[in-house]
Amino acid sequence: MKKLKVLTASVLMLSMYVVIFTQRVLADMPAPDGEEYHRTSRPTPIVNGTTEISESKPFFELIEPIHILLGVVVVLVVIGALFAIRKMRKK
Amino acid sequence: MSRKQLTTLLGYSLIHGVMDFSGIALIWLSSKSHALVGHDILILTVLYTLLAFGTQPLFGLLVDKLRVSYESVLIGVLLMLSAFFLFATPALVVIFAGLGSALFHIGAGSMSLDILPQKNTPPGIFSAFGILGLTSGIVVGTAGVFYYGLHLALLLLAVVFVLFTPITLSDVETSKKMKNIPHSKLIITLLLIAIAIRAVYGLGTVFMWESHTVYFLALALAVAVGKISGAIFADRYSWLKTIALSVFIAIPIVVFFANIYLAALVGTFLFSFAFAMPLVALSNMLAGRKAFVFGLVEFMILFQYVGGISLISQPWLALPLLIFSTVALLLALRLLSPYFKKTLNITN
Repeated sequence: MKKLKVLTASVLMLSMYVVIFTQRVLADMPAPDGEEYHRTSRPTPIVNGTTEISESKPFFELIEPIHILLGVVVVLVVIGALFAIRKMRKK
Repeated sequence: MSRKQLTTLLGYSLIHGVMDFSGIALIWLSSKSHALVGHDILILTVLYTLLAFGTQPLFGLLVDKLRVSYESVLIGVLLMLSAFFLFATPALVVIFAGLGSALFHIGAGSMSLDILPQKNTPPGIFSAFGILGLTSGIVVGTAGVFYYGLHLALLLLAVVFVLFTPITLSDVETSKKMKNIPHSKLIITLLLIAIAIRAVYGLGTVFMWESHTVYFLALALAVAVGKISGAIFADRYSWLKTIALSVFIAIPIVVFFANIYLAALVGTFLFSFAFAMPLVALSNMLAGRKAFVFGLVEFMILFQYVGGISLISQPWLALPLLIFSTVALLLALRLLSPYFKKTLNITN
């Protein structure tokens, strides 16, 4: 049973890392114009070459729909894992 | 408490600190690395709080039903470790850290309520480390100092400790006790009102001097030591005496002398004495639903946003509110005491 728990946790961890690395690869992928393909933050505008001005972002630029979707998937995977553990323990 | 129980409690309490530290520090540091401004960081922090605390009652119900407290803790620390590697994207840090924190809290929190079910000391110790971790996380996050290797080592140690120290909860299947208690709904409502008002005070209050890092950390230490001391006093003497002798002294101090640094520290220390009692009372009323109870109490922390008031600037609002919350707590415990005469040390 202990091995089963560790195995479940490992599978969960592995699946998360697949998501993480896919996301990170996408973040570093260059777009045709040389800009980053998936920029998570806008460049900070510079006035007179010295002063940085930052502005707040719209909500869906801060949390993109893909992040919300990923969050829902993680919740479902967690609930599924908890049910699976319970089921396996009963056996 | 056996040595094994003590090791488990202290280990999970330390991990509680690491988890609370990681959640808030990672959000700040990740946001800063993307040059996000204060307003954006605030939105991300609120979303993290909603996920970390708002989902706890729901996950708590599920964990109690499936009896998977240990697995919930394990998944929680793994999610937090993942949040560390998701540093490149603040939104994903919020999601992974928030869910990880929620799952850890209900699993490990139910363990702290189960180790000695009638005592305040275990949940008092467990929650004390949380406030220390949270405060350290805010300090490190706002300062923008990131000890990458040390942080990773702490999270990995947490995973290893959880893997090799499984927790097992005692077998309490139903909550028959609650059906036998008259006015149980009133008692639960009074306890939750008391917790909510205390949460507004605890997190909604801004002391004028707390922007200084050392004072801020000292304030957290006062809360942590207060939680532990209050729990020990209540277990040793009685719950009602502890509340009467601590909170009623604390209220005028924190309301009227909050600008005096040492007075506010003493007031905060005494005010924290009553933290664990409503938690233990609820977990004894709703036997077998410890994860849900812990989640429900943590959920009440969200009321800081409802209040979000500086009680210092409105003492004549703060005073009746805090007195009302304490009276509600005392009344609830008084109503409860005849039914737990042999187990809980409410009146002595």
